[in-house]
Amino acid sequence: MMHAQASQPSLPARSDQPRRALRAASAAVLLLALAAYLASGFYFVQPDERGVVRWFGRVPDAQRVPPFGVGPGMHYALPWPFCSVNRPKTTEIRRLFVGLTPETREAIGRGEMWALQSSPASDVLTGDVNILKVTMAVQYQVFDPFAYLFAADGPEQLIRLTVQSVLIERMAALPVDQALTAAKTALEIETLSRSQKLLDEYGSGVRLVATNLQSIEPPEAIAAAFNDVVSAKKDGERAVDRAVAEQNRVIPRARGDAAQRLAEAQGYAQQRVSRARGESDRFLSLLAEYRRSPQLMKDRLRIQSLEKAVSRIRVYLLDNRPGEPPAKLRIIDRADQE
Amino acid sequence: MRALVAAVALVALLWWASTCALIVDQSDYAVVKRFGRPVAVCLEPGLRFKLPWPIDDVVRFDNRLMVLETPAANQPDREYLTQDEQAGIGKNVVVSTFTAWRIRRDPAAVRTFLETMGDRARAEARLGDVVVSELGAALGQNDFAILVSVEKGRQRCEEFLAGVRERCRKRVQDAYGIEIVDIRIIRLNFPEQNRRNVFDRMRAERETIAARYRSEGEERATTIRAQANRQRDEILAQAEMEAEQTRGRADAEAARIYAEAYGQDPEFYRFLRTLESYEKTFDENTVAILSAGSEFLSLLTRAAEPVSQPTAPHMETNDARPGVATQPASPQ
Repeated sequence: MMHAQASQPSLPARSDQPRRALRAASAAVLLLALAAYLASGFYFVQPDERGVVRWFGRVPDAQRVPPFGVGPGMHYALPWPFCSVNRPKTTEIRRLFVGLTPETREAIGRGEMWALQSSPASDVLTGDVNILKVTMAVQYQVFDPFAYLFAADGPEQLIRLTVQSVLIERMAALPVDQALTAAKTALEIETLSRSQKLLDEYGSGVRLVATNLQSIEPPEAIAAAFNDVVSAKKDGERAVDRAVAEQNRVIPRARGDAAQRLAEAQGYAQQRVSRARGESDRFLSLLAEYRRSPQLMKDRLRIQSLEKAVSRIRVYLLDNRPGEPPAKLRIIDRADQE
Repeated sequence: MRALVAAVALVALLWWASTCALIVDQSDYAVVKRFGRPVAVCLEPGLRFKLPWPIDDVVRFDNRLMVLETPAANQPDREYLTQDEQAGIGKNVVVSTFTAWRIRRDPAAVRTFLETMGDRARAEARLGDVVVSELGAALGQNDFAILVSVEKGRQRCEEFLAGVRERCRKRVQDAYGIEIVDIRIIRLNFPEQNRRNVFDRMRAERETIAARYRSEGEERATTIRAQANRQRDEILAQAEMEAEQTRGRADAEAARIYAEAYGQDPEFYRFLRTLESYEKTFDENTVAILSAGSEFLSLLTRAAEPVSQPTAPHMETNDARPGVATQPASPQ
């Protein structure tokens, strides 16, 4: 309309023809503008999204119940100011961190994930009044886009603070040693279920997928003392291992020694009995001979012995006559001579 | 020119007419004010009508759940004093909370909120004050263990906060038209000075535990070694016993065998043994000095002849060995 008005003064009315053409042109422009305006009401919902439409500010009842909103594809709603459309992602698993300082959170928000490594996490008290640094990664999913959009202002903050509060509360009932070791999994599970219950009470429309302890550690100032406990535990175990190894060495060796002693004893026994048998057999054989002719046997044995003896010994003869006193001899040990 | 004026007038008229329409958003409450005085509260979203501007004006409030951190993240920590059951004055603790709140879904409450608070920032400031004062009062009446304790049933965080929540709720729900959905603790700590004491205590505890682990390990190691040694001694003693038993049995058996054999003719046995002992006694180092007339010599010279008299070489008799000396093998 403005366009038509503006062009009028420069074109004085000379005939009906150009004026009609101008009218047609401005009508066409108007129609085009109207069409473009109406066409702006088309919207696309991606496969990972649900569309939530507000007609005059109100979400129709049909969109407030499962499966919530409108599904993927092309849809039409009246253009502004009559309708407005939100398309939250519902299949995406979103992530946020609990226990970080606000600066670190901002850095991560800007996509600087390295900030997570150096972040001084906030302190958490354990039940036995120790201070630990705890960070937790929370994964969640929007399951009710209507509630997600309209139940809370800033659902991320709500989730983060809820999980943080549950974590604080649970940690405040745990001894530090358990919090650092055995109770970790239970802590994660309890935090998840309790936080989910609270978020359901708030009607937040999100489902927690996982709450994972990203880090749980003593503050830097006393980290060394905690590490020393770990190495002390290892030292203790090593001492026990060494003792067991020694045990494993000593006892088999003792068994071996025992077996050897028994074997020696058995060998001795065998030998002793065998020799006894042999000697007694020999004796019995000789005895049988001896009984046949005792004197002959005795003489023969005696002579045999003498033969053996005489063949070995040195004999000196002193030829003194009978009746004379025997020669006096002194035996001098060779040891004395030298 | 006339057309231009008409067009401008039409646009102005259309805009003015549109001020009669009121779109209440899903996330809002709307209050219609007629010359500044609230006349209608719209809780439900949708299209409404009102008198045009400048007669009727609209104020909108968020109807959703809002989260308030106390103190806010960029504010300094807030310390509270707890009570000690024994000592009276307890620990200083730093506590931060979050409050989940919303404007109550009630026309009178929305109107109250408009009149007393006016906007969210003021409401949160006021709400923060209420939470801090109620939390401070509650902590001052309770032992620190109600928040932090390993004893079962001693830590009653939920109950404690429910009490605080209830008192805050009473203070704000009618006065300000605010509903408190939840108050929860998001930070729990000690002031800097006390933190250092906690660190010292923690370090001491760790040192104790480390020492205990080491000495426990030593203890178990010593026990294992002692057991191993005992077991070894047992095994050896048992073996010794069995070995001696085996030897004893063998000796007995041998003695029995000898007795059985030699018992048949002890006299002959003695004879044989004597001869054997001679054979053993006379070796290469034996020197025999005999007198020419000795019976032993005659025995030697007659060795080839049969000996008829049993007199001769019974060497047990003294005269039969007139000077036999057995020299030991050459002295070393």
